Amino acid sequence: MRNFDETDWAKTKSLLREHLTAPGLEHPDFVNSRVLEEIERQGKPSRPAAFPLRWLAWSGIAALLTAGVLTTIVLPQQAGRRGDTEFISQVIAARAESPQLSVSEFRAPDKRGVVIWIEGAEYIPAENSVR
Amino acid sequence: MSRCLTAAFLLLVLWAPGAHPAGDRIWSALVLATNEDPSTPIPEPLKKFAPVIEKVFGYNSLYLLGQKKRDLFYGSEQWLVPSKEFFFKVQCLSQGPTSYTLRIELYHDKNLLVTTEARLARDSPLYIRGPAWGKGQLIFLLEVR
Repeated sequence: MRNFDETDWAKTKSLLREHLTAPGLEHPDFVNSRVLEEIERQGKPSRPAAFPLRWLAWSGIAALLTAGVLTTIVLPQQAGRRGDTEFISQVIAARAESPQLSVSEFRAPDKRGVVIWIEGAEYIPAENSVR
Repeated sequence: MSRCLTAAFLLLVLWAPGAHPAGDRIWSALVLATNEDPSTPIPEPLKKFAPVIEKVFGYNSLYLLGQKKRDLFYGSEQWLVPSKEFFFKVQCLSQGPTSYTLRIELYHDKNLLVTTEARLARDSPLYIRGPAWGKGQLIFLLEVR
């Protein structure tokens, strides 16, 4: 069986060699140059993207670090953690501008506001408009 | 090209504004506080102040006699006139990340009653007990918003 196949295959090969010829190219030089160009193009390493993702990520991290460092240097009071008292109003000084008045100040019971208490202000009768 | 973009990106990051309060305003109000039975409904702008006023000054009814709002920024000097009789001169001495330091002068007619220097933080009001009027008490409110 095997001998038969081999002889058969040898016959076929010789027949193909005799009768099958490569078709002739009309412009062989042109085709050749195109093939060479394509081979050359595929051989070159691909051009890197203008903004590779990794580069962009690193530049972002660097920018944030720079911003943090600059904030700490230029605005040190803003870089630290703020205490609750900074979000609550406070009377630094208060003085009455008339000898019959006295002024005191204290924090409101809700701990959010602050109160200035003026004592000794003249009573205003209801018939006097204050609007 | 890529260098230009990097420079632009860095500039943008460095230029980005911080957590600075911008566009804040100072609100002032003249309130008449009285005791009534039953108490009258609290006007909407005074609702959040009513519990403190009741606790500190002891009044259950409030009337809004006047209110005024002005822009607040470093160096500004504003006249806040919540009523024709009482008004404030507010000078912004400094501006911090969370508050403003103000010099506040309270006038009755042309008479200066009180001068105060206060650091006002946003949504942290200043209550000023003014003179008694009729059957009630005048209370001044100042708040950064």
